[in-house]
Amino acid sequence: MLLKGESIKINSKEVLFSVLNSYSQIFFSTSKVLAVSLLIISFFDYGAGISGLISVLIANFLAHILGYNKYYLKSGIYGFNSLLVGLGVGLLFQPSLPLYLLVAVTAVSCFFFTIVFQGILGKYGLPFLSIPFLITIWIVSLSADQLTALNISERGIYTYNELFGLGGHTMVKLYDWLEKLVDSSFIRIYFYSLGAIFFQKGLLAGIIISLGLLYYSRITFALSILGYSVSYLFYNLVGIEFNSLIYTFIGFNYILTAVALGGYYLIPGKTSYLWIIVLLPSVVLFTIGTDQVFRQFHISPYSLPFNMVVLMFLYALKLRERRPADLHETPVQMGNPEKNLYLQSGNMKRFPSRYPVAASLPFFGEWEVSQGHNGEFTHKDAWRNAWDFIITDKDGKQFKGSGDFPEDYFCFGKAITSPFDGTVEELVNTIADNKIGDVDTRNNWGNTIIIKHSNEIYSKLCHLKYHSIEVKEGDRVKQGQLLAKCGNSGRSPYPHLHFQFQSKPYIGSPTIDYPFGHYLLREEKYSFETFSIPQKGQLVANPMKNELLSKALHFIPGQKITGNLEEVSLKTGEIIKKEAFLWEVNTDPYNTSYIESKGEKAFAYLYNNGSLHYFTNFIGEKDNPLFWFFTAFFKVPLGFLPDSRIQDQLPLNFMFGGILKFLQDFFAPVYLFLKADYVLEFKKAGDILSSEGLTMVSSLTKRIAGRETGKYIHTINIKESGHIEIEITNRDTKIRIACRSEQ
Amino acid sequence: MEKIKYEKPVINKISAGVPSKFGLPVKQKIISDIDGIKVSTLMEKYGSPLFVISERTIREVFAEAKRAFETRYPKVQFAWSYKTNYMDAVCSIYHDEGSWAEVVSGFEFEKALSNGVNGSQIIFNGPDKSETDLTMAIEHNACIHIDHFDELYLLIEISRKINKKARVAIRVNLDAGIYPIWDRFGFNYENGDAWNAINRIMLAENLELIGLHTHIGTYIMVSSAYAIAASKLANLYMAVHRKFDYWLKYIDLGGGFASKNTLKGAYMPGTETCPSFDEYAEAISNALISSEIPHENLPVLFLETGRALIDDAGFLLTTVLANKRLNSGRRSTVIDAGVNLLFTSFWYNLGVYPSKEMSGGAEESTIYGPLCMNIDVVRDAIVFPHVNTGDQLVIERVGAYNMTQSMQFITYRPNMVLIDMEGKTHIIRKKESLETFKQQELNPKR
Repeated sequence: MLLKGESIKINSKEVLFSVLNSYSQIFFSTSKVLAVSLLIISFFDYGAGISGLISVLIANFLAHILGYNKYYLKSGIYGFNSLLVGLGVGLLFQPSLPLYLLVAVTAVSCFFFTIVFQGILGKYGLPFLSIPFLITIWIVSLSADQLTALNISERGIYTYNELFGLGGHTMVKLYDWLEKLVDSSFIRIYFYSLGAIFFQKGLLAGIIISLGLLYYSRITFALSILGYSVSYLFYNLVGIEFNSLIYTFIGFNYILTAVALGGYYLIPGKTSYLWIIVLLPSVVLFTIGTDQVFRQFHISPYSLPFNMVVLMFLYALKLRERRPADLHETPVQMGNPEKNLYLQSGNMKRFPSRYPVAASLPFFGEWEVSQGHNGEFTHKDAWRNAWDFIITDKDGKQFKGSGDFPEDYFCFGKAITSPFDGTVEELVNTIADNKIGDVDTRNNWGNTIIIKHSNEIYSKLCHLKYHSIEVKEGDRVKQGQLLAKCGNSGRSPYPHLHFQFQSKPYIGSPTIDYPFGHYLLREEKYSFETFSIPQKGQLVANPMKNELLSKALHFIPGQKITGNLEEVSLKTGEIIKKEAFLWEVNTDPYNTSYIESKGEKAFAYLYNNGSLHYFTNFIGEKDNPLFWFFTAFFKVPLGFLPDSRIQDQLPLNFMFGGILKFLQDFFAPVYLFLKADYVLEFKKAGDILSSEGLTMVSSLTKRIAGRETGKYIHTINIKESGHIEIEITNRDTKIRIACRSEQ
Repeated sequence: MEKIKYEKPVINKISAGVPSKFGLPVKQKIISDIDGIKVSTLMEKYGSPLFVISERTIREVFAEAKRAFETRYPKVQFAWSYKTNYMDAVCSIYHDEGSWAEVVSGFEFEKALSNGVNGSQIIFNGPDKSETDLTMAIEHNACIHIDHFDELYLLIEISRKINKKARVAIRVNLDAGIYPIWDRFGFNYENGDAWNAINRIMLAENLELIGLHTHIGTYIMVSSAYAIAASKLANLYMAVHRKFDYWLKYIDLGGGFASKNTLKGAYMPGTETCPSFDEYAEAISNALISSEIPHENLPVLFLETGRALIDDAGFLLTTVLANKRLNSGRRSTVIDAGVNLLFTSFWYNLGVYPSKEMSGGAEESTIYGPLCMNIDVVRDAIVFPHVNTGDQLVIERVGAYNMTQSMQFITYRPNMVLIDMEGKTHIIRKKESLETFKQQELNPKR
């Protein structure tokens, strides 16, 4: 519903985009080049072309006037099913006024099917694919015989006549030339099948579509060939007549299934490709089977097999309990398989979605891991994924004096804190501490606290000091809150903390292989570890927050940032570019924060969990100052870490283009030879009160097959006032960016 | 067979406890080397008397203190108390370990700067801060701990004059349940002066209140006093947040931890009675963590421990000048180091030990220094073996105050030597000579 005074006016650009995207959306794309080529193909038959266009306009107009989601409207989600219906109906009958009227009517009903299926399937997080189209086109096909005022189309019978009408002699010649050129039936049927998606017969449409696909995405193109080849092999293997695909509109099912599952709804990769090979034979069987049934009604199953298999598989994947690392549903749809892959391949390492709990170490100061996972003493079998922590001095000794009393041990009586927010599930507080060397095997775990962090993740802290627990069952605890003191109760010959993650709330439950969210590892220098498992003998500590850095990188929705950029040529010393900019922090409906460059359509998406700041994605032109901000602060620990470093990798599509990236796209699901390494080092981290500014250097190194080919160095200064200055140098230029928050 | 050495017979008066028929056995401790270097070697090379500082001990004790606090409290920062020992070599070791500097005069401030300490990492304490000192402190962005209202007014004036914000904290004095209450420094907690001062600072334009400081006394032998002090400061910390919606950055509990020296009049030796770092740390961190302060807003904990960190690392090597039997029949020994070098001998029964095995029994004696002054008594009663002229003795636990408070009186001050981590010795301050004085003195009569 529109509010009073709210304008329903839209500009012509939005109308154009919503129409074009309705075309490319058939291949899950919003590529304008692909859209234009598809639009042209649709007009190979002007009746069908006009019908298609009418349908799209009607559907989009309805979506607009009835007030459906603008974003979906613009990306063509509401239009593409009606488009398919329009094309299909337009080809069914001879062009005439009643036909266009029929098209309009079907477009309306198809639009409402679209809305209904979006609503129903959306609840399960599933796409509605082309189901609205299927239902509408079946209804029309079934009633075709009764629509006597409309003449059943005679097209496809007098091919040359039609071609002549379309483009005169040239067109006829081109057709003949192509027919002669491509004489392998394997290739011919591939192009026919592609063309069939747009109800086109003949090679030309298929060739144009395949070029459009190649331009839009190498992975999609490769997948279309893979899906087609697998089904071809299966046809031959089980002895189905393959050539029949030339005159039925069903060969594209294999291509669409491969494109949808192999690279769009799932992150493309070896595993997704493998699943295409596994699934396509069943698509073939579905196709043959449904075709036999639908033949009784003189209609085609069209894309029914594709819809069934894709929806079934996606729904089945959603019901998984575990998410194996190599078969992932696309978390943020970038609308392009390559972008999805490059973003995900980095983000998989950066934010393993398997780890919803980012636990800190459950103590203050530096402790040593005395027994790690699969330890030699007690961390075995079901309890193998646990840690024992002690405190040692610089000579590795864990006690002072003779070590005959628990009090001699450095860790005894030290504060034990909550590793993460949660609820105290169960606790034992009444078991006496052992004398040194004694073990209490009857009360194996000693005094224990179990905290529930999520439905599947609990942490258990054991061998606590007698009567030292300061929380009660049912208490909500926060990360870092004091829970108890380290002790020597239970099966503990000397004081230590036993810590484990488990999936059940009971004392004695088996452990799970789950990492700590972030911690400092002390070797020669400090390194910042994320989602890692401390190993035996390592010295670990919680990072301390740097107030200045935390404040500078704490972006609040509504916050405005102003600044300016200056680019200087290193050769001539001339100022090449000078500009001022205004950024604004915002959040999207998914509650993701981003910085927007006002008026420039550039967005840098970010994530801050209190210990780390990440930029997760960038959308927009790369010559925008916001892009340099994005690369400079790609990943920044907010901890107080003089002289430490952290590493990461930028999605490669941000740093590479042209032929190299074109080649990489083909191999991307299997192997990445292009890399953009990110390293951040703290040069001057200020002090514990953050009373001085700080200096960091982040560098971006472009590598081709391991060889360095370019390097960007960002020197970042954060002033005490919170002002940020970044100086970026590469081979030719030096860019200076200064920005500050508006008060 | 070697001839057995003659030993003089001694008659000991049995004075305490239930002795066996052999009297009270005294096992004489000896210190023959420091960090593996023979006392005789050191004295041969650098003369007598001689101050020796062990870098190894400094670092070990510091690590112990740091561990005690950092494993109990999330944010801890030590600041080296300059007055305890401001030899540059010593300060540098603490700064290398991550300590900030805590100074109480313009001189110490300058010394800290010259040791390469960043101005913002200097804590400026004490009642004596001149306008020049305060200007220097503001210019260097130091943490100025205000002692009294007059200083506060002066600070407001200076910061306005030079138009620069001053980072300040207030020194608070409070009743921590011990005697005496050091109410001469800072603003009183109980009578509301401290709260008053906080309010004035919060409203002052050019002052930024960043912390709260207290220093409850010196040589505090009950750790619970620190718990009381910490919880009182925590109350102020929360009060500031409630009234001004502002989190202060730190709470500074000063120093005053006892070292292992034995106070005069103490019944038991200090090694037995003084709390360890662990006990102090336990009391302080428990008080802060269990206070009203939400754990994610806990302040940084500053500690200005001096004595407890360095006392053990300092030794004074000295030589026996003479033995004397007093009129009362009491044995006395004169050594070449006296109260001119051992300021702490006024408070402590310092441990004096021979550097080699002494045969024969021990006898209650008095140890005198070399000065021609009646007050020059190093120990007035010590059960001490019979030493001979020229024997070398070691006085332990003299790292705190003695090197900085030793005075030039009657004789020159001796060499000071540091033994580094590799066991190498370095002179860190040269023995004085007549030249030292001629440089400073002016004589209008000549």
